[in-house]
This record gives sequence, structure tokens and C-alpha cells, in this order.
Amino acid sequence: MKVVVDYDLCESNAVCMQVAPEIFEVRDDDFLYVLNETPDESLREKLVESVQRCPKQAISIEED
Amino acid sequence: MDSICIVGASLAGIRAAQTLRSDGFSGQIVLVGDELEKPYDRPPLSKEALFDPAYNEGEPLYLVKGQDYDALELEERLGWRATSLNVEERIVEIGEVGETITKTEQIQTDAILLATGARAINIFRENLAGVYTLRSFEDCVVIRHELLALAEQVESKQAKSKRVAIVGAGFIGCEVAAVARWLGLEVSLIEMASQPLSRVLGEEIGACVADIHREKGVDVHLNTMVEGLIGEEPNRVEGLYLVPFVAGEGNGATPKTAEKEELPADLVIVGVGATPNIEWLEGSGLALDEENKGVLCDEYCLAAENIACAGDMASWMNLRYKKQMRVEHWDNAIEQSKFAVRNLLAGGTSSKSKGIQEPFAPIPWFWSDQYEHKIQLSGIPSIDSKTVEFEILDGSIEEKKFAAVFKQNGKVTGIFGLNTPRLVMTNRHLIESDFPFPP
Ligand SMILES: Cc1cc2nc3c(=O)[nH]c(=O)nc-3n(C[C@H](O)[C@H](O)[C@H](O)COP(=O)(O)OP(=O)(O)OC[C@H]3O[C@@H](n4cnc5c(N)ncnc54)[C@H](O)[C@@H]3O)c2cc1C
Ligand code: SF4
Repeated sequence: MKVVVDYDLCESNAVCMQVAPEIFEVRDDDFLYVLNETPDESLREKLVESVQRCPKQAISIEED
Repeated sequence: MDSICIVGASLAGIRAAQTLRSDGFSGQIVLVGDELEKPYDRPPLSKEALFDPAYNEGEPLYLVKGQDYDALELEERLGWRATSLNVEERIVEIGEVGETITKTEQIQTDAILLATGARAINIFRENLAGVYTLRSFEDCVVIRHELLALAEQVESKQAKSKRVAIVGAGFIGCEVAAVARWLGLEVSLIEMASQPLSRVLGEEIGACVADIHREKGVDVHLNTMVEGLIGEEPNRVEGLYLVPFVAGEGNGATPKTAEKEELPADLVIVGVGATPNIEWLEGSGLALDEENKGVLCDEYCLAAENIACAGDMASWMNLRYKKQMRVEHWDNAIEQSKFAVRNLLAGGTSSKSKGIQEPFAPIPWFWSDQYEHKIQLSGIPSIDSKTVEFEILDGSIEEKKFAAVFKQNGKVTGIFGLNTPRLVMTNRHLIESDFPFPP
């Protein structure tokens, strides 16, 4: 699975980083960085939760 | 547990269904909702959906799209309203929404999730056109048309100016004010309290929000009550009667008021808050929470055996704060629905669940977008008393970019951010350490 972020929608509120710090990081420059674009299956639950809790619907998952 | 009925097909309801399926629940899920649309997102309704040409006017922003929605295998009853609940037998009686309800059905399931949310309060009795509350996609479409039509009249110089009066400077009122200004309309924002959002954010930060709106040209009326609408029924509204309080005179119960004023307006939006949709549960035997309104639930979000609640209509015991509370925030509806259905699964006989119930004890989180400004709030600033104190963590109020820490009795109760969205989340641990859970 692949993490896709629509940066036009993202407002850097770090909700995803709170849920899945292994995948997302909002840095001091206030931009969101995806640390791991193709996370392991074991991170699926956290990634799904990030998708559901992103207030801007900016995250989606692309299946292989 | 082999079957569940989810009543309320919106944020809490659909996220509950998603949790059930991703937890491996393969039984029957009946989703009952009195709106015809599939579950959609409400926050855009007072923001981009109200004016942005990029936003598809024909349909709302759905919460689960296409194949992902189909994969949930829901038995939908959209356009059906729950009318009563039998708690012992777990039967939800529903009726198809029409002029009157003629067709009815009974749904009997092993478990029930109540997620009927809240509706906007309208304080006006007058039957005048051009007066709206905003809660649903339908409301949004109508208000959008009204706003765009007024803007068009100004732009084409048919009218010199057009005024939108917004009653209540809560989050939704403030957001609609921003949209109307963006469209080039005159805006009056009328609030009973001494500052916008002051009940949540206190005087000083409330004053900063008022400044934001004044800077953008909004005519802000504080300490002002709206006494009624101007206009002849059933024609269009022509304005409002305002009654300003005289600051520092009279007392809380009987404040001194000044002379009544007339404020002309072409459109009136009422944003004075919401009330939970729980009337249909009267007589069901479920306890209702008088103080917070809402259905009374325990720390597991359970209202009765095999019946749970989530979202805007649930009043539950948040053990982190040891307080019964009801929270009308987007993120809360999602999180609570997850706990609620997992606790239903755990209490039932499903072999998939761990069989352990978990208390729902969140630190609330909320956001609001007004103009280019991003507001974020974590925690509950005034958890212990009415006055709130704060310290600036970063930036300054003057530059309209700051993060603040709210404190009460030496404890960090909340983090507020204006245009510092990251800092609100990354400083949440300060609340966490003063209000730990488990203790
Ligand atoms: C315009 C607007 C802007 C918002 N902006 C923000 C924001 O920026 N940030 C934020 O944190 N929160 C925001 N919110 C709040 C957030 O949208 C709500 O907290 C959230 O929608 C609550 O979800 P819910 O599922 O509990 O209830 P609701 O979304 O209210 O859904 C309840 C559903 O149940 C249906 N229903 C009611 N009674 C019955 C019945 N008897 N039978 C069947 N169906 C029934 C209703 O029609 C509705 O579809 C906003 C809300 C609105 C209205
Ligand atoms: S939760 Fe969404 S909006 Fe927030 S930082 Fe992550 S992607 Fe951006």
C-alpha cells in the first residue's frame, strides 16, 4: 500500500502525526513530510485511522 | 453479536460501520438515517462548500466514497427516521420520511448504536423568507444560492450593497461571516456575550477573534440581543431588531438594555448553537442527561445493555476529567463511535472482540477556518471554573499568529492556536500530563 497526500488540502495540523508518527511528521517549517510512503501491512490500522481522522480528507491509500 | 442497527447516518454512524468491518465483524449492519444523502462531511458546509466554485454543488463531500462504501455491505434505510426504541427487545421503529410518515418498519438487532447527532436551533418564530440555520447539505445549498445571488446583484451594480446579518458569533456564525465577506457582501455579526467565543476561549482571545472580523470589515455587535425580525409574514426578511446591553450596569439576570435599534438585512443566518436529536427516545426508558442534554451513557458510551451512543447526541462519563460531558466536535464523533462499537462487540458474544471494554477518555480537539486564519483548540480551557487564564507559548496576539496554553488551578487545561496548527497538536502532552488517563 502507498500513502498519498493531497498537499493542497493539508493544513499541517498534525492529526495524522499523532495517530501514526511512524508515517507522518509535521516539521518546524510547518510542512507535512511522509516518512514512509510504502508502510508495512502492520501499520495499516494506523494509516486507515489517519485517513479517517484527517479533517481535510487529504490522505488516501493506494493499494498495490 | 450478529447484527447491529446504527441510527443516524452521518459522521459517527459511518465511522462506526467502518470500525466494525475493519475489526472483522461480518454480521448484519443496518444504517438508518433521515437524510437522503449517504453520509457526508459537515464542516465544509460553513466553509468552502458555501462559496467555492471548485466545490461540486451537486453533491456533498461524502465521508466514504465509491467502492469503499459498497464494501461495507450496509443495509441502508436512508430517508427513514427512527421514531421509537424498545430497549429490552432492541427494536428500533422507523418510518419513511415524507409529508407524513405512512410506511413503518421494525428493526430488531443484537446491538444498537445511537448516533442521531444534533440540529441547529432557530430562535425566531416569525415566518419570513431569507432566514436560515445551517446544519445539512440541503441548508448549505440554499444559503449558497442566496449568498451568490446577493453577491451577483452587487457585482452587476444592480444594488449598491447587500447585507447579511448573522445571529450568534459562535464558530459556525464566524465562518459564515468570513464567507460572506469574501463574496463582497456587507456583514453584521451579532453576539449576546461580551466577545465572540468568549465562553470557550475567554475575553482576550475572544477579542482577538472579534478583531479579525473587524479588520475584514465586519460590523461586529457585542453584548447585543436580537429581539426579533423585521418584515411582514410571509414576505422576505428586511432586518433585525437589536437590543444592546449597557456594559457594567444591571446584573446578570436583568441586564440594563439600551434603546431598541433597527438593523436592515437582506439575509439572516442564525448560528446560536445546536440541540441533540433525542426527542424520539423519550419514553424509551433510556436516561437523558438534563444538564448536558444528550443521552446519558457510562464511561464505555453504553446507555443500556447492548445499546451505545456516539457523537453530538451522547453525554458520557469522561474519566480523564471525571465529568459527564457532551462534545460537539468532528474528531470526537469519530473517536467515540470507534470506542462505542468496540465496547458493544466486547460486551456481546463476538469471538473477534477482545471481550474487554475500554473507557472513552479523550482530550477533545477542534478546528475552525475563518478567512485565511486557522483556529485550533485542544482540551477544555475552562474545565474547573468560569474564568480562563492563558500564557502565550509562541508568537503574539498582535501578529495574529500564536499558540497559547490555558491553565486553571496550575494545571494545563487546553492549547489554543491561531495560525499555528502544528503547535496545538505537538503540545497536547502538556494537557496529558496534568490530566492523565489512566490516572
Ligand atoms: C456547518 C457545520 C460546520 C462544522 N464545522 C466543524 C469544524 O470546523 N470543526 C469541528 O470540529 N466540528 C465542526 N462541526 C461539527 C461536526 O460536524 C459534528 O460534531 C459532527 O457532524 C457530529 O456527527 P454526528 O454523527 O454525531 O451527528 P450529525 O452529523 O448531526 O448526524 C446525525 C444524523 O442523524 C440523523 N438523524 C437525526 N435524528 C434521526 C432519527 N430519529 N432517525 C434517523 N436519523 C436521524 C440526522 O439527520 C443526521 O444525518 C460542524 C458542524 C456543522 C453543522
Ligand atoms: S491530518 Fe490531514 S490536514 Fe492534518 S497534517 Fe495530516 S494530512 Fe495534513
